[in-house]
Amino acid sequence: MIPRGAAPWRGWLESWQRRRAAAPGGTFTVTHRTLYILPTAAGASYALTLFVLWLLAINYSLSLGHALVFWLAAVAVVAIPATAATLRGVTIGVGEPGAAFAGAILRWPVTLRSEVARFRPLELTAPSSHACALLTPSTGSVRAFLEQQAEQRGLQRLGRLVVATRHPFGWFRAWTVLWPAATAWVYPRPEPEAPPWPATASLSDGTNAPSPAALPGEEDFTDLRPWTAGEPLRRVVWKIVARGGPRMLTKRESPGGGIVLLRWSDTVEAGETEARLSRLCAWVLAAHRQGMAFGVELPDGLIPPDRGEVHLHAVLRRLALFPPEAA
Amino acid sequence: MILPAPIARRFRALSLLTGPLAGTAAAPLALALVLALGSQFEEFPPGIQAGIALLAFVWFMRRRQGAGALTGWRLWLTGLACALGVRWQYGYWFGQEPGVALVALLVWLKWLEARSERDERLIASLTLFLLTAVFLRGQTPLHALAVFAGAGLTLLACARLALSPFSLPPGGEGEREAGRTMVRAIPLALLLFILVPRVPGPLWGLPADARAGRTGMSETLEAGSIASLARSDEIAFVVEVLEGELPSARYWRGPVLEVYDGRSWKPSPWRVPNPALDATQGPAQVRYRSLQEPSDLPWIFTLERTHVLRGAVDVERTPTGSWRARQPLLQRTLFTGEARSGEPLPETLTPTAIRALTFLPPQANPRTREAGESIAQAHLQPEARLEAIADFFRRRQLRYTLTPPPMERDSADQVLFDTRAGFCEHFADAFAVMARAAGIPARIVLGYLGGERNPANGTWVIRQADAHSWVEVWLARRGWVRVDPTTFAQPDRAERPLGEVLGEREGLPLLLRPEWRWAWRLRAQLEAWEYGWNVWVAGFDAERQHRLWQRLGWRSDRALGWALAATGIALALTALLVWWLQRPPAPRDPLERQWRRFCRLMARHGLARAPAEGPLDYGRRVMNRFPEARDAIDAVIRPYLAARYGGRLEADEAAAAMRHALRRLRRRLRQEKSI
Repeated sequence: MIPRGAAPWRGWLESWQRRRAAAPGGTFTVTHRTLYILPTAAGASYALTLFVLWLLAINYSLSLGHALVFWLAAVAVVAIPATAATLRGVTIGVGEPGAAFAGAILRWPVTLRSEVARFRPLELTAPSSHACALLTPSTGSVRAFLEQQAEQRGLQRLGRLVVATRHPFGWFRAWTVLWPAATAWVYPRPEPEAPPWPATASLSDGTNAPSPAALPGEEDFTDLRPWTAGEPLRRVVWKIVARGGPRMLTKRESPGGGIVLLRWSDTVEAGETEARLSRLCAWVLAAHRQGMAFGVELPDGLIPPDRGEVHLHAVLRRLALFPPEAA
Repeated sequence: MILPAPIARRFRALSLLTGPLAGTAAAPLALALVLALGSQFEEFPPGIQAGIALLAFVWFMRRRQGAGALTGWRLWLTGLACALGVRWQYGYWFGQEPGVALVALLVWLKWLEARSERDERLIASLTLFLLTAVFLRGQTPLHALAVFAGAGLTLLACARLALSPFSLPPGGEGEREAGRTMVRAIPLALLLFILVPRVPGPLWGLPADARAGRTGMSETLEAGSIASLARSDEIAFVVEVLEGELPSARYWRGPVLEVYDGRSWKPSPWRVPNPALDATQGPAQVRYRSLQEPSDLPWIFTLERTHVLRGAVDVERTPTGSWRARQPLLQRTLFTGEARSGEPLPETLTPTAIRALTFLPPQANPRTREAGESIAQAHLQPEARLEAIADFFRRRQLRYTLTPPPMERDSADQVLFDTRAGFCEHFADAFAVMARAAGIPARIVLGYLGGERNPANGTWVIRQADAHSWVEVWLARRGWVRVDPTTFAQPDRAERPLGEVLGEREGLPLLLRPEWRWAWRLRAQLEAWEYGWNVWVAGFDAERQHRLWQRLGWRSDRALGWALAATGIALALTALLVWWLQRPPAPRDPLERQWRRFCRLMARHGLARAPAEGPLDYGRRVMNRFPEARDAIDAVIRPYLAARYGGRLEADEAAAAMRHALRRLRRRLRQEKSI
């Protein structure tokens, strides 16, 4: 393994590994070129133990002691290709985890597949995340999730993914390194207790919008309509389902909830750029929840008002990619 | 299985072993420790035994209750108690036995405070140490079985530790694979056993306590010291004749006792080189291999007139012609010896030596001395005096018995004049005293007489019951001559085993009695196997190894290099073989195999197939890159598509066509490259 401390050779090693790991397409199959294997600390201490036992056998001329030491050493020798074979031939595919707000958890789906039926206990490590996956002769593929905190808004990559195994005895560790191409959108973190947008934002009839903070979870169940197949599940009022009722939708996202233009210039009191983006994000979400058509005015351009999921994500992506220096 | 409550309660002790530990690395590790300590448990003093049992019990109860790791002062206090307990039981700390005892105690203590995988791996290492220590106590097949089973369990524990993040049920595929790895290592282990050059030990001084308290011959002769051995049918040594034939009177010489103080005979402390020993004549008549059981003494029992002896330990020849190792033979050791027959050249003695070898303490055995002195007055020639002493012995009509009446002092007098009964050592003692009184230099030889042939493998087995003592007298014209006074009482003792010679049965080992021949035969077979094991497995040492290499035709000066090279090759080959055995299998489908060959060929030319690319797309891409080889590429792809997707062609037929087309394509691509 590469130690955490930035040694001068580390950069060279990583670029060497990157050249080897470069693979076309979304999947990566471990071959002898991309498989690395070294003894572990447990392996080193095992070797030391065998050395001591060997000295004991020599000193007391124990022929069977020699036999025991040689067998134990032979097991270690045979364990090297066995460990390598546990990893070799595994195909690794990293999927996209979908979007998340900064500070939330991204769940990267990693699919591990092998054509050869074999017992393969694999450990996956990516920056600040770890998971175990087990391929058995009866399961051709398995999916594991690497949970990573969404840190900075923008496009996030999983980073350096290490798939390793210590099977069968833990004396050797075979591993492969890859840099998956999959990306995840990280939206700005919505401000938790955002004030309502200024009245000037509303373009429709001039009435004040309700406070966004008051909205979630406070639905009164009077404006509900039954859910029909094909409609988005995220608008179902699950409280009713949990009580044993039918699936009902809130009507509030129905068109005609008003139009609002959320302006960058209205967020001055929030402070620096990131805080202002957080407030805009909170407003966008509130407007979307209320079923309003919303537009966003940013220093580098205007997104015309619209409503719906697609529009929401387009706006959030724009916020995610907002250049930090633009303000 | 559901058991009725009372029975279940009774078997709860068993279920405990499987219950709380099931599936953990601790279960096989605990079993391995039980095997390691159980195999040597009786060798520990009672205090250590109690300590091990107590700590193991505490460990087990805490595990069962799920109690956490032991920490703090209690741990340190227990550790201190263990160390002091070892000191108390053995009287010292630094030695092999207290060392093993200390590890046997501390391994449980370490386990009581074990928290991490690393701790358990350390316990596995200590377990392997304790398992190896079992071989210090013995190397029988049973010991080997227990130790190798324990080592296998320890490795299983290692496998479980490596699998611990996956929380799997016990006995799964992962553990089976670890087991297969252990089995696959066996051929390599055998090669290493034969090939890795043995370093002759010891590397550091053997502690004085290494093996103590063996039964066997002592190196002084006192009344009754051999008769006590006659009741033991333990093997003293086994002889395999390699060349020639053993004489009918098989006297196996051990220490020679020249110093007499009136009660006991002791070996002479002199280390004067004796050139006469090398001046022997006659060719080597017998070449033999002798496997000596461990004893507390350095003496090696050899056929009379053995002039060459080699073994894994350093040996020297004493001035009296007997062989001894530089250190006590604490391990079973294999020797090869060569002996001559025929008369030796007479050895000369200095007057000082003659005086020392005829010395008798003035007060002891007055009657025997008197008889000896009167014989000396009656006869002038030593040969005649010797004949007169023999006559005297024959006339006494001595009785040969395992249970002679107790004798306090002047044992020669008592044997010859009072009880007139005795065992070999009494007769030898009396004869030597009388010969010295008659002015003839005499000494006593301790050793073994006879031995029986094992019909299963043709070896000669010499037991403690064959222990014997006889006399050597010095005659100026003939040198040292063997006289066995026991033959005056029992003329056929030299040729027949003890069981047939002795009229009385009580006190003899059961198997030496004639009516127990069937059991004897069974034991002979077992002992033949044991001999093979001891020579070829447990006794496989540097000497044996060199012999084997010579048989392989490696010249001795190059043998070490050959062995090292062969070891390296064996290691590399095994790794490659296992690698190859575990490669992804080639597809059984002939069509698929040819298709993969095509993909590999094109990949070598820089056109690897993308995982999602179908054969049609891939073919098109390849053809665009190599337009000149278009028809050859088409000839490969077309049958594949026809058989795979169209079903218009049999798979075998298509595969044959593809193979043919591939050959053509390869040629084409090579031509193109050369252009």
